Amino acid sequence: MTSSSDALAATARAAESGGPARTRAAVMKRVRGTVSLVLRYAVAAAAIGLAWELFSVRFDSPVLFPGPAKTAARAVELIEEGRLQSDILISLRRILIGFAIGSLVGALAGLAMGSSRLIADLFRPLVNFFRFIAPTAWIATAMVWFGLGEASKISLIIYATVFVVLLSSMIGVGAVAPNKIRAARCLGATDRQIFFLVTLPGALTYVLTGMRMALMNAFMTVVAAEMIAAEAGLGFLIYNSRQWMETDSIFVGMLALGIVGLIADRLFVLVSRTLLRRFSFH
Amino acid sequence: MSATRKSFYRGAACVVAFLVLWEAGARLFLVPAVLPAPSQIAAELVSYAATGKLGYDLLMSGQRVLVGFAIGSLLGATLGLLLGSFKASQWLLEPPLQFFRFIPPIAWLTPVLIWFGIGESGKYVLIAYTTTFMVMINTYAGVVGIRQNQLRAARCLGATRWQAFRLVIIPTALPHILNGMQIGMANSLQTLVVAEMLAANEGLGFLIINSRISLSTELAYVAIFLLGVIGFLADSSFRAFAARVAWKYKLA
Amino acid sequence: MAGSYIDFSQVDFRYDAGLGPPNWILKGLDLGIERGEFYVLLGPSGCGKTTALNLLAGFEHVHGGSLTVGGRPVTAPGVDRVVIFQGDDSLYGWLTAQENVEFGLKLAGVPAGERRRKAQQQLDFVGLGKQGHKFPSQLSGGMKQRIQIARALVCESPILLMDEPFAALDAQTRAILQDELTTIQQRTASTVLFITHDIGEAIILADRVGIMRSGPGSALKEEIEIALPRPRRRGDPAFGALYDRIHAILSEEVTRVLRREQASQ
Repeated sequence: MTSSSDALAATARAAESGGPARTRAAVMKRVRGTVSLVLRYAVAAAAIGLAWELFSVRFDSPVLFPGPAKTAARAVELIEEGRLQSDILISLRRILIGFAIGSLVGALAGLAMGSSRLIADLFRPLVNFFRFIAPTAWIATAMVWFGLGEASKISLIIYATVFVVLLSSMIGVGAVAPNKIRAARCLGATDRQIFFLVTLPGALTYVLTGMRMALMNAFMTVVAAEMIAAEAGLGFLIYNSRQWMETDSIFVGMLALGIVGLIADRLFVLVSRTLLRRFSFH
Repeated sequence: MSATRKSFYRGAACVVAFLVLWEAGARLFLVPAVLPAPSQIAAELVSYAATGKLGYDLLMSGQRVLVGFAIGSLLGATLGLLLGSFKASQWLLEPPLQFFRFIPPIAWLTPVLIWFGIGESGKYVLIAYTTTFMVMINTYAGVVGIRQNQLRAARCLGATRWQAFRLVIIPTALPHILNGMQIGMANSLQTLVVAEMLAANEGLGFLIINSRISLSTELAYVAIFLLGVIGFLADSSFRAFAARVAWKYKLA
Repeated sequence: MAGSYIDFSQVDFRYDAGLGPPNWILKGLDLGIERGEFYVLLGPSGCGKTTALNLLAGFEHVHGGSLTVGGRPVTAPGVDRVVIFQGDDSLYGWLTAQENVEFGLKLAGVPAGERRRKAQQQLDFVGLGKQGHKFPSQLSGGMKQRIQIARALVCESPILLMDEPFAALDAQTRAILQDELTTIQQRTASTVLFITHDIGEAIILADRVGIMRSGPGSALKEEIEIALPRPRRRGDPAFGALYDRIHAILSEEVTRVLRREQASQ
């Protein structure tokens, strides 16, 4: 979310410039952008920290509402015990496996449904029903079918990922401009070639957008699943700490979720931008 | 046969095949505790509804979602409009918004339980937060993404800041507010289920988790089925509203 | 040139590039437009002609020199200087054509009945009297630009600012709208600043054409009076002569831009 005014100013600048210093200006702009972003995050973190501190002082109950200092101290303890790292890794592992499988299945199914009228007709009603069932509603069922181990959580994350990616991929196939397909056809492409050389690259941005949304869903689902049925992971940390009234541990878990989620999202955007840059231009 | 009818029959055939396979599979190979057959679920739906308890569960779940959702939508739209309209708040607000996006509303359940107890107010707060956040970031994005020429046109036609806000920014943000509400409703249902699983004695989420104790798997499936129906109905009504009532705000 | 109705005097404008040197768009622009004059500003793309219009509209502010209208400095957008934008994205998609035209009157608090009457008058005037109930998305590009013109005219603004308003239209529609605009301007006697890169359009419309140098740090290069009688015809030999003359001046600038672009690759 860059602010539109910035973007507009940048476009205006690009359009109206044309001096020889263009490349240097571009480097400067990038440096300036990074500096400003870091500054913004620093200011935001400081503002939140301050508000949090003030609030906790007012609340005056370290048990019910610990301040940043107490939370930080607890975070250090949890890290020294090794619990925080292991909980993060356990949750991440579940997310990554489920997200990978779910994205793959979702993308394949979505591309198939987007390309074939028959397949779309057959499965649309079922997909449209199941996608409206909250993944969290399946938690009890997943436990019955797959036990209390990893499989139950991973299956839930697959469910949370599949439909988002499927829908997005299907729309992506539909969004490939008809003239791109006609151009390929009149240059002599077979159906197979059209799919792999035109449709698939054309739909890729949509697949990726769906995956990015699904990643957020995966975080939500893993937390829910771990709160109800797990012995480890960030969701477990957050929920289980309630029994001992360790609100500071709960805050540590939530902060960790926010940070890990943000990093995962940024990494996903970075990787998809660098590896697949050319596909994002239509 | 027309193309739409053909699509319909194909879809219906697939649904029927799915149900038949499920029915046969469940009756031949599985016990109801693992996977009840569709007919058993339907029977349970009827008999449980007849006792009148289902109505109560639906009422409780519905009330929780609707109260929280209404508060959250109002709050989210207001915040999004205000925050999007001021440049300083854009600069300051985006980083924390990005951060809080990744703390799932469900994670707030634990602190909310500690602060508000297991009564109804905690659930309202949780659903309201879920909705507020989604509506707010969508509204905010809508306001920030407004076309500069539309604002400029208003200014050169003599609009005051307040007039520009009321007559240009709000109409532009409207489809984004609706979109945020649509996603917010879906997320609220997710949050609701978990909240009712962990901290309630009635409601659809409670039915699902309680089936493990009461050993009535059929009832859990009834609840799952109803959640799907509710989610579908909510989504369709948003779509219908956007298409019939708010359609002109979608247009460029 | 001091004392003109619209008066750009030694106007500078830049975009700040943070740590780098500022990016000068306009440097020492002198430009005067008289009351009731149709002035066309012509120049290679990126020369800052839109910037000049945005300054006059009050969307941007000068960094040096002065810009006045009727002796008063321009500080903010105002209903005395209504802009007709290039694209149709300045129309409000949720309002009908009629409501779009009424928009300025509504802002000024004109009662609904009078608003409707005046808007209908302008819609008739631009030939869309029966299309008022339609939404912008249901109208063609030419119709949408007519709505924009009606929306500006209804405010009875003494100055109209037009930023390549016909650039996105097909050639026939453009020619028709150019003729209509000439009629409108003669009837309303408003002062017009019209931006374009189309030489033919400039000659058809203008009382005076100002040709800008290529940027950065652009200013006016030359001004040419167009004394041809109206309505003007493109087949007219005098039109051809003017065209060649302006083309020669402009192509020097365009060549400079091209050469610089090649050098920077």
